[in-house]
This record gives sequence, structure tokens and C-alpha cells, in this order.
Amino acid sequence: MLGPTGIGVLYAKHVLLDAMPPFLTGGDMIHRVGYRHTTFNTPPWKFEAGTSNVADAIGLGVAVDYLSNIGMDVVRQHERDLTAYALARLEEFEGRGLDVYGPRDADRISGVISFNLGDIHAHDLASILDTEGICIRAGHHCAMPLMDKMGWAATARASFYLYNTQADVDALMDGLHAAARIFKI
Amino acid sequence: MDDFYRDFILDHYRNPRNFGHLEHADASAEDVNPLCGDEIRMEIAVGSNGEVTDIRFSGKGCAISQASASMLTESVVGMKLEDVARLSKEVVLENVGIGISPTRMKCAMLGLRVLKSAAIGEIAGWPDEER
Repeated sequence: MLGPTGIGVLYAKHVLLDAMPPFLTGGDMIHRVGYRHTTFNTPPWKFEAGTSNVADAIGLGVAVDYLSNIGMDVVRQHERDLTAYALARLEEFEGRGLDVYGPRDADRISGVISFNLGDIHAHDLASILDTEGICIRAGHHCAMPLMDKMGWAATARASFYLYNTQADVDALMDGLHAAARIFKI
Repeated sequence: MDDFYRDFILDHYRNPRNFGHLEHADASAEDVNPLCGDEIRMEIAVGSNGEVTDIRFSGKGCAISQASASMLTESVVGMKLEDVARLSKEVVLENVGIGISPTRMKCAMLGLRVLKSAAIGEIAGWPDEER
């Protein structure tokens, strides 16, 4: 969501946060410390021991303001349009061993398309696209048990967001055509 | 990187040499590359003079890992185990040529690592890994 790395938000019911023990000790997370007994501060301070990650928190706040200003409905629409365009253009690879995982319906998925092309291993595909200046992800996508169950060695995954354009999708398709030429599929 | 994916690499990827298993392997080893999910197993038969008389590899993964392993098996038949154990990565680089990015080097070297592990294990008398 365009913010800095190393920060996120935990959104939870206060009563549940209250019941949870601290995961880290340090400044600000105690209420009172004695020789025999210690009581902890209330949430959120109970979970924010030590020096706060101030710079990232401010950066995240700016990112939230930026996205709120644009409107998440606009963000979603942009993502949806690019995903629909990419799904349509992927049909150029029909009959050449194209596998798209998940619904081919931009209204039912987020701006992420997982796929494989012929017998090109996803990491080979990612390497070739990399030389064309296109960055995709390849591998298990933090879902190795699912990949095992489905019998997929790895998948390639392209994702779109606010900063992507239709020209980026075109570049991706050019890159895929280049990969198909190299692998002669 | 397109330089890397030349015809002979794709040929080794799609028609791997010495692929499969030996009836009687004297030494074997296997390993995975967790980054890509590449898997390679090497099985070797050793002659009376301590030389590699036959070799098979098996596994699955990207073109870089599979083609590198395939070519490696063609390079080491007749070689003494001691020399296999001392192989440097140059043997792989000479086989596959230039163009491997640093992030993919682990894929290229997986077969070599497994083969050396099998050779070193045999010299040291380690028990073979179960298939």
C-alpha cells in the first residue's frame, strides 16, 4: 500500500489485545515493576516496547493519506481494469501451454495473476522477463503445501497496482512472447 | 540472460542425458534448492580403480538446474572420485557458458554440489542416502 517496509497495522478487539501477553519487553510496555510482581501497560503500549519505529509510522501515515485522497474505489477500479486487460491479452498464448490459476474474471480476483507458460519453469520465465525490464514473482508464493497438493512445481505471478499502466501489461506480453520464442513454444 | 537459454541448454533441459536411476549405485546423494524448489539426485557406479564408471541423475526444476546437471554427468565418466570431490564450479560454468545471474547461480551449482557430496561420501565411507 505504498508505505515503507517494516511496518504494518494490527487491528483487533481491545478485549482480545488485553488478554494477550506482551511479546517483547522494554520501555513503555510496563505499568509497574516490582520485585515480586509486574503489571503491564494497556494496549497498544503493551505491545510497543522500546523506541518506536517513528519514521516508518509517519511514512505509513502519509501513504494512507495518499491512498485515501485518491480513493480505494479508484485504486480497485484501476487494478480491475489492468487485470481484465492482462487476462484478455493472455489469450494470445492459448494453445501454447498457458495455464492460468484461479478465475479468469477480473471481478472475482485482485490485481494478481498466477500462471505458467508451456514447459518454461517459472524461475526461467522470471529471469527472461527480468532481462526485458519486467519484474514478476516466481516460486511457491508462501503456499508450498497448496502447490504440493496441486502438483505445481512453481508458478509465475504478475501483479498490478496503482502505479502500473496498460503499457506495462503490453511490455509483459512482449516479454512473454520473447520467452516463448526462446523456448520455441 | 537470453544468451543463456541457447539451443543446447534447452536440449539438455528437455532431453536430459543420463537421466534415471542405476540398478546398483555405489554412491548417491540428493539435495534441493529451496529458493526454486529444484531437486537433484545423483547416483554413481565406481570402478575398481576408484573411477566413475556410470552415472544417473534424477530430479526436477528449472532449465538452469536440470541442464547443468545433465551436462555435468557427461563430464565426469572416467574421472577418479578424488577428482570429482575436488571439482570447482568452473566445470559447470565451462559447460553452460556465460550469462547466469548471481541469483540463479545456486540453480546452476545444485547438481555439482550433489555430485561432490556423493563422491565425498563414498570416499569417507558414509552410508548412501535412501531413495
